[in-house]
Amino acid sequence: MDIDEILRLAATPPATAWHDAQVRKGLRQLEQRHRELRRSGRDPAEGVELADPLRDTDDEAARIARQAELAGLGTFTWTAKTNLLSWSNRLARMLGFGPEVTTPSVPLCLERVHYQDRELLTHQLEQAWRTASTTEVQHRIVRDGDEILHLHTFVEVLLDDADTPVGLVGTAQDVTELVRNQQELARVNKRLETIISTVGESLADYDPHTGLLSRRRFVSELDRAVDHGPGIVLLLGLAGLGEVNRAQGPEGGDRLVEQVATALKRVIDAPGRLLARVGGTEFAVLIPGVSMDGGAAIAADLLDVVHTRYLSAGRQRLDGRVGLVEYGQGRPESGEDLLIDADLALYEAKDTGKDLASGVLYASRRARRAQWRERVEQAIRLDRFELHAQPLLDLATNRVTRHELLLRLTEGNELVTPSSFLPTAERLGLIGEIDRYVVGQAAELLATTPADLHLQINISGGSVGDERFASFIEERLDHYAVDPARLTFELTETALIGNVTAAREFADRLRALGCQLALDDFGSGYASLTYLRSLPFDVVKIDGELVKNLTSNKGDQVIVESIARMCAELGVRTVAECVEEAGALERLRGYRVDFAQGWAVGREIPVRDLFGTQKAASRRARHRTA
Amino acid sequence: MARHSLTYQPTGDPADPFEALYRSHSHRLKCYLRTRSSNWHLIEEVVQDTFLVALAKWPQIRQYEKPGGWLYKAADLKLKERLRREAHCEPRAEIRAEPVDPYGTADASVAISELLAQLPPRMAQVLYLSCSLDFTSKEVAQILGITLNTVNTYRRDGRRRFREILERADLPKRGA
Repeated sequence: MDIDEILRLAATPPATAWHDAQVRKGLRQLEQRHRELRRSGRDPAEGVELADPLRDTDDEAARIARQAELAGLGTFTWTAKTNLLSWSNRLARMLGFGPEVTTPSVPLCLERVHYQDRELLTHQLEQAWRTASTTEVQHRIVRDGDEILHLHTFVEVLLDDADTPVGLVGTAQDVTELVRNQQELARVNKRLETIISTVGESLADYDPHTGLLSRRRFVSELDRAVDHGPGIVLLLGLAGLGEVNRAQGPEGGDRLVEQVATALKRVIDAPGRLLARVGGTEFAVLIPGVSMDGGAAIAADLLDVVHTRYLSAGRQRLDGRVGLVEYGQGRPESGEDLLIDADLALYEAKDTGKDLASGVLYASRRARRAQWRERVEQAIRLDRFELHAQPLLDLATNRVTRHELLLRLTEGNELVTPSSFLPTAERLGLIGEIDRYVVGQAAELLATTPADLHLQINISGGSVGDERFASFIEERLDHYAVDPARLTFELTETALIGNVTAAREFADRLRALGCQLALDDFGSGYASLTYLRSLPFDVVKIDGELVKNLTSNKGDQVIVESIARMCAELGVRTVAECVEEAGALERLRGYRVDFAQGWAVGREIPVRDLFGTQKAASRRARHRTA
Repeated sequence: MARHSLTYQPTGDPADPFEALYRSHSHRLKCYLRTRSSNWHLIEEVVQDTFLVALAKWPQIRQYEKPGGWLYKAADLKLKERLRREAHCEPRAEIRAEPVDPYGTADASVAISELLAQLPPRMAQVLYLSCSLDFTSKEVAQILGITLNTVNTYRRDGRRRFREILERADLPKRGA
């Protein structure tokens, strides 16, 4: 196809019924507006030049000057033969000359050009003259001593009948406001990026509810501590919080966790000791220079603190278990491995009903992995994994059109949140089995529910990097004959770190399949914008920490609105997470956020309650596809 | 005739001169204005406002040999005015994004106008008016208020630069 054919295509309206409908709609709108104008007596042509430009018989310089004047531009004409310059009144005013200046000249003009821009402007003009071509240049004018104006000057060469240059004609537009706005915009954008980074940094290092160290920071501190002598790591798991959440909402659970954290700080408070919140219901403690016996005593103190708290109305006490491991026994241990061992000890305590279990230090990664694999396989085999669904409200239609599937693990009578077990499963390379479990369950669920149900599921970085995972998804969707467009995969920034090439391939395959992709927790990390630019996301989920206090926090309002606008420009839909106040919904709607998710919309409900028994649904699906 | 009495009513007749003008140029005008702004909502408004003026002054404008010449000039001036006014508004945080096809139709004319928008606005306008539409160089100069020399220079340079843009855009080959 040659370039002329392509350019002609640019003026070829689409021959579609949709386009015809748009034309008819446009004509109807014109009819309505025309009728209203007639009624009001207003003239839509006021200030509009109505003359036919194609019948213009003026010479070029006069025509250009007249049209520029209509467009609010200043003009000048320079004739080579006489070296005379003429300018319009508007340009004279732009340059700061009053009516007393009757003889415009090139030196007079250049005198007003900012000294840093003078050389550039002169060079551009000379080059345009030499090559008989057109030039555009943006430069500053200094007038009345110190006032600076930004002008955009467009200069053309006038030719005679023999195509010989005879002069210059120029139009100048005052773009000062535009430039100032661009500068301000750049400043605001820079600030926005800084805020996002700062928020991301603080979120990464500290738990926003309790102010304690985050898991990431704790592991990093642990890495440093093991190099400086022995000590112990305790992992305290709370039991009973699920009931509080159910009865009092997440605020009730958060309040109780904050109270426990404050009390634990008092027990732990000593130099060198660290306390962190490493999961929704788990606290980790690092105590250097203490043996297992000393650790057991501290564990007992911690449990005392827990047992003095009541779940609700003083009837039932909060419960807890502790897993304890010792480090510094000659083997080099990483912080993450120690935490995993403490977690396995805690798991043993829960499993055996003891308050405290002292863990062994697994000699190798393989041993840890084997232990954890058994735990994961057991969870799948014994139906300990449970899927919950949380609704997403379409803010344009005010209807729930999507659900996010959330994975929970039942241990004893407790529902364990993913933050307590997924990081370890991921580190030990067992996350793929969990992701496959979720995908399989989601596909079954879609096969047994109405066709307008859309599900969003979370995928780990490990699976993103696994070439076979996309094939597995394809196979499952195919097996259940499910429309892939009903499934969105949520990826966090953490899942993408170091994985961008694999993520790109994964994303391309899923999109080719017809699934959608969402970038989760947007705004919580350092590089969300980078990932948004480099990967084809359909949906961005705005991090809950930016949304939770939206009605009262001005900074959050600015960030959320900006993210929503940016995504709208990119054609990416947005979800606001953790919407906990009804007042936030209207604000989000105003920002043109597409979906809201959180307690103000609806709580998470076990899938079996929402869509019928999960297993029953699965059986129906198997029967149908058999 | 009802059209020029009190109110305008669409006749649905493709031969009706105003409707023919609208059918022929409303979409083209949008693609043309895309060379100056990526804000499709604003472009839509400007196109409708321009046609509203054309409708109000139809007895005059219909006399023109090529009413399209007036349309493109008037719409361009209107858009510039709107952009100037918006430049005076308080700036808001935004992160520049690649423009998207608002119609979601992967329509060729929209896609090509997006590519044309990568050229300097006046150069893109010259290419559109002279190569996509059938205005002569002199007419283009009259519509845009520039010299014939500039039209010829921009037409030549614009084609070269647009070819480079097309190569970078890696458009699907015919039959692919």
